[in-house]
Amino acid sequence: MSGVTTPAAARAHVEATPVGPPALEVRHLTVRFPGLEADAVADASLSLSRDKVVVVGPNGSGKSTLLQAALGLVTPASGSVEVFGRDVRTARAVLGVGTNLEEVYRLMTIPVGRLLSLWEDLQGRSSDRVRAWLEEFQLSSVLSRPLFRLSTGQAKLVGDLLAVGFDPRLVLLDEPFDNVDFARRQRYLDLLARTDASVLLNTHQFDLLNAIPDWGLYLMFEGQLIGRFRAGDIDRLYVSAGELPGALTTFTTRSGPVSVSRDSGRVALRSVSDLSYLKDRIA
Amino acid sequence: MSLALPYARATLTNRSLWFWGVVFMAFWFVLGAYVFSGGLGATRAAETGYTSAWFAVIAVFSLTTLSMGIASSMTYGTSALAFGFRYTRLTPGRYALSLLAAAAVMGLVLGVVMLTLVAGVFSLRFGTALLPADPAAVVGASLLAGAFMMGLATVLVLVVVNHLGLRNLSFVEFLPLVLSYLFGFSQLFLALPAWFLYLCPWNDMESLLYEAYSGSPATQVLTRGGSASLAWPLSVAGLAGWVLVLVGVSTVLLGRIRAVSILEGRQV
Repeated sequence: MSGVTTPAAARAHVEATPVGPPALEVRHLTVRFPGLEADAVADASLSLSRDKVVVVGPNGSGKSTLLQAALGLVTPASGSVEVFGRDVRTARAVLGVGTNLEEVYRLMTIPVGRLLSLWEDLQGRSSDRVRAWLEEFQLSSVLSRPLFRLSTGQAKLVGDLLAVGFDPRLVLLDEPFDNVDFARRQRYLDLLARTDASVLLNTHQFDLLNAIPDWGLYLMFEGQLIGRFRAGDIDRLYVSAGELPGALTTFTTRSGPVSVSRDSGRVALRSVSDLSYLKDRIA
Repeated sequence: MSLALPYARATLTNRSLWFWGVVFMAFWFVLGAYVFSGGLGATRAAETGYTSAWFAVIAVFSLTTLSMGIASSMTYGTSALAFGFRYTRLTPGRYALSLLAAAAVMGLVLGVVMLTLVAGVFSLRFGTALLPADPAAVVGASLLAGAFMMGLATVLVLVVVNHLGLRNLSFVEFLPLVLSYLFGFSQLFLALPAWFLYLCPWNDMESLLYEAYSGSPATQVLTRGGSASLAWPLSVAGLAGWVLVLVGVSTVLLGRIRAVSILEGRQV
């Protein structure tokens, strides 16, 4: 793909980058929404330094809220989020953060082509790479239309490409493959593999994990962030009700403690195609 | 690419702003010229003063409509702003200036149209050319008035977004217009103290626009020729002070903008 860094070049860049604060540091983050009893995010902690992690969890588990907190779009009840060492609440002009969340691109109603020009100005980076990718992904027709006139899949892909298109150092992706066809999903995965940015990717799709075995893996359940595991180990992870001796970790759900163990346990994690039903399966 | 340009383009092509800012105001001019002008003394001075007062009041109404229309559009992009201030080169000050610039461009265009309308309608009514005495001063006063209204509208919308909740937007949206009616009409008929007229931004706008159109100093009661004259430098100072305060407050509020869903504003 044009303009994409090769894996070797990416490694070389990472090795040459001086050690600094983590790209993303989440410490005991709790997010609470008015009128809701349960916390949307409950005491979550995570550190991301020049690596890539995927957060897997059912709908409503708090994945998107975690990402929005990192982007400064929701206010934490307690805890903190830092991006490149800067507290998100007071961060200003921290360049190099990309996301596919559509709402951050709704500064005004303009066609995608003009949005790219605007973003070029705001990011101080050329939009040539995104324009080339749009062509490669056969999305050139979107340039003359505003985001809200695109199909759900097109809008998602445009957001995905904007997220990685302006030389980001940190990429935060929320369900990047929803409504995206298989071929383009593969292309985008290739693109993510080649980027040297730190990546946090939310998904509820387990099948994705086999394609990114080297990535870190967190589970998100009832607002809790559980991990860190390795995405490639998904076939070896099991969940069981109760506190299992020798478990990798144990967390508390509204129906009691749940253990995550390696190679043995009540239910193989890979067999839980939809984590929403996890509680029913292990009961 | 500056933000001001796309904002200016968006406002210039906004049909709603054109309707409420021009067409609806033209309706008021027609009323002023043909319905409310009975009993007016048939002197050149009376006709000029009357025309200028109508221009001043209606121009303020028009700018109010324009500013609230532009500022309200911020509610669709609160997430973009919250993200933009943190993770792009966009700054609250730059954004506030972009809104001001967009309002200035639209204000200028509206101003020219309004001047043409007033001059045309009232000249036709009174059978004599009632052209603005100082078009450059009209433009200057319109720009300053536009900056004030834009600053006020921005502050109001941000208070709603950050503190009151979007459901209150439809209520707050009308406040500037209500205040424009209140203060705009009060100077036409009531003898308000001079210090109040200098401190009140609506009266500053009205006085400046009146003087620019008529070429005579605005008076404490615009429809009463014998009342005390107002000094335009003090009106400019009063209005400019308000603009500075509002731009400062809006910049601070923008820096703290809360990302909210536009659906929070749904009334039913």
